[in-house]
Amino acid sequence: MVAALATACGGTAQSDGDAGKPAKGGTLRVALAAQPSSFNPVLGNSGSADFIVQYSIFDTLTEFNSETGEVDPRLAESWTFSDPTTFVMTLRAGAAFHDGSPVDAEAVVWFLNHARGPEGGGAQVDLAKVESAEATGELEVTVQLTEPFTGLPWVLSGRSGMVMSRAAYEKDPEGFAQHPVGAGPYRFVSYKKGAKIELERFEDYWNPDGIYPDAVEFTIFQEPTTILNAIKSGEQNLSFSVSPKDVAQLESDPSVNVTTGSSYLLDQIHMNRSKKPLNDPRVRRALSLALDRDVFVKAATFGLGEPGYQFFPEDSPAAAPSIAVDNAPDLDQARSLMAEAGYGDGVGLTMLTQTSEIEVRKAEVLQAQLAEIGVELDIRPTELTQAVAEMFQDQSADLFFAYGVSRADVGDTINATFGAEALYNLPHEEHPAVMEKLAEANATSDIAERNKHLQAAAEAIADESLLLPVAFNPFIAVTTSSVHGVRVDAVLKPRLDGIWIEN
Amino acid sequence: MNGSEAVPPSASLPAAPTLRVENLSVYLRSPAGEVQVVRDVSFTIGAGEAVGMVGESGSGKSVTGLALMRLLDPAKTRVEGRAYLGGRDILALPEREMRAVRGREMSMVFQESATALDPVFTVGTQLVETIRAHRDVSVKQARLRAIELLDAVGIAMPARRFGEYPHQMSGGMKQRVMIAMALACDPDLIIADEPTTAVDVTIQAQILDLLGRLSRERGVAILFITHDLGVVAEFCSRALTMYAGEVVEVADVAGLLAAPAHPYTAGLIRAIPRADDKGRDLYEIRGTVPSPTEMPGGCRFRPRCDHAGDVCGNEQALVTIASERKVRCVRSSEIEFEGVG
Amino acid sequence: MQRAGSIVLTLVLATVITFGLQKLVPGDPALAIAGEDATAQRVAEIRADLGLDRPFVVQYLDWLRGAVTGDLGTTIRGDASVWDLIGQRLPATLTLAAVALLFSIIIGVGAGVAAALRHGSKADTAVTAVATLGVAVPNFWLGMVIVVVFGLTLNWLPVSGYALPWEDFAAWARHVTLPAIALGTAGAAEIARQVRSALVEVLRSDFIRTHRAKGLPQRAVVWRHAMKNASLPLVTVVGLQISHLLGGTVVIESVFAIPGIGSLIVQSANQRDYPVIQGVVFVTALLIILTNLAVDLVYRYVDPRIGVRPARRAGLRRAQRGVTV
Ligand SMILES: Nc1ncnc2c1ncn2[C@@H]1O[C@H](COP(=O)(O)OP(=O)(O)OP(=O)(O)O)[C@@H](O)[C@H]1O
Ligand code: SF4
Ligand SMILES: [Mg+2]
Repeated sequence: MVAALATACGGTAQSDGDAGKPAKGGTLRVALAAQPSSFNPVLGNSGSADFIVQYSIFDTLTEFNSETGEVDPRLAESWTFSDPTTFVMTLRAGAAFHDGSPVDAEAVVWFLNHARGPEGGGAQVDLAKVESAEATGELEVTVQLTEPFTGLPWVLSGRSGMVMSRAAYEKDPEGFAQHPVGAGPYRFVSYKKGAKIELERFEDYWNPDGIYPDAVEFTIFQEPTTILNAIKSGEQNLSFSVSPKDVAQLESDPSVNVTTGSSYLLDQIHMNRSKKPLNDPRVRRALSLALDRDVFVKAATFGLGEPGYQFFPEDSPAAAPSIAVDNAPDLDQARSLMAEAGYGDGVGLTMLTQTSEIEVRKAEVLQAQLAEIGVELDIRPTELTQAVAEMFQDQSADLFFAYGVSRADVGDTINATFGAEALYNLPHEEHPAVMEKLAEANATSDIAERNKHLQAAAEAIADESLLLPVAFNPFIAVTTSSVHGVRVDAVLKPRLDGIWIEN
Repeated sequence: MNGSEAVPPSASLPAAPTLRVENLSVYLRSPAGEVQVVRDVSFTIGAGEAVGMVGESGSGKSVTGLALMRLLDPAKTRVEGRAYLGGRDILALPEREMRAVRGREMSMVFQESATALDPVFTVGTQLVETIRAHRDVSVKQARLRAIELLDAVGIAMPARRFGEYPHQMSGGMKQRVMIAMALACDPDLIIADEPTTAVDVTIQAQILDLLGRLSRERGVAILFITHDLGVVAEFCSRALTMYAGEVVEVADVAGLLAAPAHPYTAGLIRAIPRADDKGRDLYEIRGTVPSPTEMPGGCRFRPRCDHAGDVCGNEQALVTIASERKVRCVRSSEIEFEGVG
Repeated sequence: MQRAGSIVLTLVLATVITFGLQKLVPGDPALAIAGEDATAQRVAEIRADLGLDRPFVVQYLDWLRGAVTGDLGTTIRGDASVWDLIGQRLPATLTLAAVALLFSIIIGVGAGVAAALRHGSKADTAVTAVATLGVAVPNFWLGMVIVVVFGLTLNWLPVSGYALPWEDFAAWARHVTLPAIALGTAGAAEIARQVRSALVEVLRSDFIRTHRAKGLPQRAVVWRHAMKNASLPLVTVVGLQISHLLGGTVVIESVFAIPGIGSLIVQSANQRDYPVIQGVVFVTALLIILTNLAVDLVYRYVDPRIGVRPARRAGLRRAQRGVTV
């Protein structure tokens, strides 16, 4: 579950000793575990696989700050809500696209309208509350909203803020994804589909300071072990696609640097609340009380990541302090809730999970813990899209263990999980208590106020145990020992800024 | 020596025999140890002479022939004795020199014409190869010689047949090709191991005729291995009877057929089918050839012999009983054979 | 004519089966495309867009109509033509498979002949044992071991990536070695076994004795005559190895991060990119059919009896079956 608010949770950079001063030069070779779904940012849909590449090619209007949980200026120098439905943003001067055209108010207005228009793909959803966008100065953009939506600056740190070159797009709309042109620190050179992406540094980038390598090469791997081998042998020098199970081994390898931390990506158990026995909040609550999340993190994810007691990480301003305490393991209470609900003699539940070794391992830890209160889990490892179909379309399983929806904005995340249209919401009807709190949060542009409402939403989710949080996934970056400057990214969509290669 | 048609002109000259075999023994090696399958075989063949070797299946005829050709796998067999061909003991030659002897000084015609030719090369190629293995001639010359040979063994349209594969030929024709191959380098000795078993009677007659003519015209010595005493009668001047790895009788063919000295030879003769056999059961020697691992002591034929007596329990020596006649039976002189002569 | 018919039939069958399997195997491309934005409505829209809501037969015939005219369509997201994609990937696979095949043949024939000539000896037993093991070793595992030993421990050769020989020959040679060995080992083992047993049998046959009796040198007897006679099962097993190699690239290209059609089919399967899977299967089936044609031609060359006597053919077929067991 990616939430774009709050402070980063416990990032610990390791073994990045004193390697001297950052220097320009070299080729950063990044091993990816999946190919980007598209180079057209607004059409992309695969989260982290897309973002790593797209962030290099496309600069964004704002930037999510993992450490503060706030959004920082990027192409937009400053912004303000002049009223809850009017957003005014001032662009920085001197930024340009790779094709030379300026990133000015007109360019941004075109992009926002394009992104929310018919060719906007997934970005349409992000910008659904935008009524109009207008250039109100050479570098000033004014956005009118249909209803209060103070999550907008966070949204603009993601794909909906990845300004595309209008000239390049209009010259060849179909071909844009094959020759993407943005205003990011690297320009696109070539792409062999599914195999390799080559970028070179954009020398006219407005902020050349943190951009070190001369070129970036992304190579797409199918086999996780091959990524490890390629890093160990120095053929690749950076990857964010390493499994927790390999971390200990890599940390003992002197030729490799490992950076770990926690993220907002929440492993959770989706429950089919539309039928027995999970339509009973007592059963859902009992499941939550039966979980020992500390043990889960130690046993299933090798101590990496953080226990997840609620929808947002503990140190997120949107997290409600009371929930963690309420969700501490309590087997007695869990058993009596089960008995109360009429399942004192136990109950069998089917749980879908993904097929990878680590996901099955996680599911088995859950199975052991839930067995304590008489819940017999039937684990069914299932390929992801099939699992989604079985759980949310066919409703042929009780539980689905997976990480959640990821959206740039917390409110949007809630919407995608509990909204009436959300595929992941069972039953497919809006949850009134949660959605009410969300509306209140979006209506205020005061951060503290907004957080209070979001906390209320989190409480509403916890009160009825609408979903079962388990643990926040770890952030893991592995590099060869000559690569420095990797920072933990709490939303698992890392940028390459600041990374440099020792020569 | 009798006056049969097989006697070549040269036989009257006091010359050294083409082949002289002395005390040839062959042992098969097996994990359980060695077994002897041929024991102390000695005989000679003169130039232009055809000597028959008869005996039931398993009596060691082929092994004898292969041992002389040195074609037994040295890893699996051991050969003892001497065999003089052209003045040298070929059993003692180094393999490299022996290769030059094979196909050139001596050659062998095998029984199984159907499988004895290489199926994936034309007969012409196989002939040319034989010639060029021994003679320093061009492919073209070798080809002419090969066609000549095919013609000589009575193959019609030899130039066309030259380019054919074995599977395109009849059994008789293949056997002729085998003979042509054996003749390719004008050998002094041909070992013909049942060369006519696989062909019908007319072809058999033609092939025998061919071999006989070659033997006479070119002075080739022939060891003619066969089951068939009738063929021996027609074709050979002398004959050896082999039983259980031993030579049990040596004689001129006429004498052998008219008055066999060994009960085994007599049994073989009695078992030849005749025109007046109709209505009568064909005679068969009772029992079977003993396997080399279960050789009876004393006379090896004793378990099957109708004349066996106490003396037969002793080892039997090959004894000369007349000029050119030897027999391995102590009771030979006492026995009257029925159904023979 | 009959042959053309059977080729068409094979292609149609192969594509119908993959088409059917795609529909049977769990996973919905619409869900894959919808990704994180999935709503029930959006998934339905995508399905309609892609024509996935039409009957199976209609979808297949639609694809077939394209394929017949040489149009394999585009990826399911429409961002590349399937032909282009296969064209980009095929050279890596073919060059890799070629080296692997060469490796299999050289090692397999060498070991097989050596064992057959020393039939029953310790060397023979060793070759047979290693070959039996080699046939059973999974590609994936062998690839991993080779990577760890030669790539990571000895640091001799790269463990990932690829280059094409006509782009950078030296880089290609370095990159192709380990995967080709991993890919070709099972084939080498299988070829060694087949060559050994075929050669042992041939060496026992009467005509080999005839060749010896003619005074041919051992060299000529073994390499010219015995090998040509033993080459029928060799050609058969090499033909089969080509199909196996193409299959093996799926694993090996993933293990060594080689951008060939093997890794393409893995990627496409993960993304439920039906048109690409279908295209790759189609092209692979074509390649295998071409291989079989070539094998048949070579048969005719090495064995003049083929196509002549039905009895021999039956024997051959037995020999071929023997190879697959
Ligand atoms: N390769 C071999 N392995 C084991 N035993 C063999 C081998 N070759 C021959 N023998 C044995 O040697 C003995 C003699 O066999 P040989 O083939 O010489 O008999 P033969 O007289 O030629 O019989 P046939 O008339 O059937 O050709 C037999 O007992 C046979 O079983
Ligand atoms: S020695 Fe005795 S047993 Fe042997 S053949 Fe003569 S009579 Fe028969
Ligand atoms: Mg024989």
